Amino acid sequence: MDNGGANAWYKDAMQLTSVPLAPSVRSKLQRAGFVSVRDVKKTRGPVELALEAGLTNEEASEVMKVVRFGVDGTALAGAKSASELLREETGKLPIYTFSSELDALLGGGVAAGEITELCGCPGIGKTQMCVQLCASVQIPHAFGGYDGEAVYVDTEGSFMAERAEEIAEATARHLRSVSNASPEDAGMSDAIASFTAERMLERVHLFRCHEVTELLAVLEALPAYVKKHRVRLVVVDSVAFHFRQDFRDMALRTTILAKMTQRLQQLASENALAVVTVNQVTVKPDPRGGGARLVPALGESYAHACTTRIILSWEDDTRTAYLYKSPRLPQGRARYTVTEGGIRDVRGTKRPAE
Amino acid sequence: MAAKRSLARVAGLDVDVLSRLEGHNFRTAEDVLTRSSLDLVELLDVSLPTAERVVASVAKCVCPKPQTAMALLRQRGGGGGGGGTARSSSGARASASGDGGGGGGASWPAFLPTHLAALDLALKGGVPTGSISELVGPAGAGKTQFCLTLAVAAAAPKSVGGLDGGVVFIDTEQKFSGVRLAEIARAKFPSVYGDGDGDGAPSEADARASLTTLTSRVLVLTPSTLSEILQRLNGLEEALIDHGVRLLVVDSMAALARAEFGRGQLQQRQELLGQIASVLKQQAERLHLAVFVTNQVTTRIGAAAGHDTGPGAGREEGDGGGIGGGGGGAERDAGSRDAGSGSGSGSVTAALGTKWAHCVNTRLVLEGAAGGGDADAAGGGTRVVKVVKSPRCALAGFEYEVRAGGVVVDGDRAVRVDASGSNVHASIRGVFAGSAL
Repeated sequence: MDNGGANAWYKDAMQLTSVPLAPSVRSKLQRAGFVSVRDVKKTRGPVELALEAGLTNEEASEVMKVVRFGVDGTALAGAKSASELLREETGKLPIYTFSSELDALLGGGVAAGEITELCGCPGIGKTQMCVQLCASVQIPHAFGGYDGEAVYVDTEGSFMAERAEEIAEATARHLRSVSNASPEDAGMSDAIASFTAERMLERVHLFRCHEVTELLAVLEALPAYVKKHRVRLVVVDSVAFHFRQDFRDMALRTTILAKMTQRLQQLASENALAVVTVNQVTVKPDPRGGGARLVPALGESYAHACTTRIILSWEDDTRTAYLYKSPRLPQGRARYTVTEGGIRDVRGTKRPAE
Repeated sequence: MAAKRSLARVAGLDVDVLSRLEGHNFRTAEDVLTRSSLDLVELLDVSLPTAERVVASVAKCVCPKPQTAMALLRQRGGGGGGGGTARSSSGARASASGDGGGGGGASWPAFLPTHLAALDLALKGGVPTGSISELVGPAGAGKTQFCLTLAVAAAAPKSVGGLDGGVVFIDTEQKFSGVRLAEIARAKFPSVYGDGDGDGAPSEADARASLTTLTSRVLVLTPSTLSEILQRLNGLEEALIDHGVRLLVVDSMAALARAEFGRGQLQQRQELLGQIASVLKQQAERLHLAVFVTNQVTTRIGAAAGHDTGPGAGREEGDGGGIGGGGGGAERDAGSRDAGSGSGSGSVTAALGTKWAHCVNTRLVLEGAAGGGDADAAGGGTRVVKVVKSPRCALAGFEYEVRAGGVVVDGDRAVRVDASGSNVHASIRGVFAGSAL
């Protein structure tokens, strides 16, 4: 078996009812006495299976494919050991936010292979942060960056190409100055030659979604798209917008949100790319004080969807990022500001950690 | 509508699968995409690979075409510029109205210049097209004046920096005045609409003819309910194209929303507002319109259960630094489920709530002088227009006046805007701080 190994026994014991088969095929198999995956595997091949269960050869062949648990991610495909995971995690590069305080809070920057959610009130700089990341992800290898492309899924229409140009230019300027500071590094000067704002903008792919269905379609299409384009960052700005208007049926909304989350998670882990989602805030009555406070939108069950959740808010006139949830890092705060060139530290512009 | 795309028009579905889909009442792309492929296996009685193929072909049809940011920039006629080069108002005007001035291809004005030099500069060209901009202000601050000024700017000919386009003015409060519109036009562009005296003024007949052209370009709708707005907007597309509309004004969104829905119906209200925002965004983007919406303010008076007071109550200008400072105290407001943004005592905040605030892309605020206590906003004290939210530019503020020529901004008198000074953020700020996150 392709996926043999330690957990093969477990898969073999699976009931046919928990395997994705067409109902008519499944009932034929069950009538012929097949109960578990092991029973099906014991047959000598699709033709024999077809004869025994009264299926067509094509149907039988598909059943055989399904019970072998191919690469499509059904059942337990792809379990990994912790040592493998350790190697992968340490090999991953962060995407700099360009605020060293915030980068430090995030353990170097926005991590690949997981979903990072930004929430915050209107005008706090969520979109700015996303545009900054689209520029940062393109930093060439020579500068310790990803040299990747970015996909920007815009549901709100707030992506402004002119603003992206400004930030891209500032990023290019910054790298040029880094390169000038160490002229002996040939790799850097080679990389910087082709690193222009124009090229950066060419490598930001924009999907504008006007409704939930389009958003879902984009998510279906993304796996193929990111492979074709060396995409290292997928931004969804924002997840909340359509989900807050288009649904009457809350149960359906929850199902679709879950489906979407699962797609994004898969996208992140299979392609080792960073997924950044933006969420809005909503006002919720506070049961303790009788007042109300701002909480991230889309509800409690969605709160589990992201790996890392960052809440952006105003604190004493300063934009502050609060790391609310992370599997690896302690909670904490970092202050940042939005400048013409993008996201920066509050006092002066520091170079991102390299 | 992509969601309603009939499955019959989806390429790559074979007849057998299609009939199965129809048999199970799958009619549109939405029906397929809102279910997982495993659901499809069960419902349609097909194999998993077939179900995945169905989802893939439907997704392929519905998925919006990706575009690179560069292509977008070229389309918007941007090309160069940017990067800190301070554009003068006329420069911005030229880039906004100069077709094909950028990187070639189809282009449209990226901005509607407001002709308020300092504000245009801060907004990098003016009110952006393709997204929703909002103007928040207390009663008498000049919101309608601002809208009329913009309407003139959009309808004025290109020779004076206008957009030479149509305007749809959705007037919910019956405040639109044709006389005032003409007056603003005459004062603002005397070279086209002037009444005969001064250099280069046109003859009276010419001026009158141009004025007629201008006024006939502005279409005024007076819907009386929010759902009527939604209904009208849905059917407006054709008119928007036929009249070459460049600006869609809704003055004001809050008036109807607040009159029509009581305290018990907030959920329906917010839902309807969200739908309107969604339609406005779509039309803004597809037809490259500037959408400009006005909003009122609401007062929060500490423990007195922030009642959704009328527009007149918006005078109490909070002192900049003090508002909403203490996390606990700022959250006492029991009424803030309504217009959102739990706030401190006696502060003024934009109406319609946080959900709506998320929907607008650019937000301008009109208010009395910052920190000026009970500034008589209606009575000619210092008034300030502030940019408090924009995907494009930093916070900025300028003093303005309402004169014959509409709203006039004094570019030399810029006002420093920090988060706490703007009444919109004042109430939102600090709510996360220290609370039990």
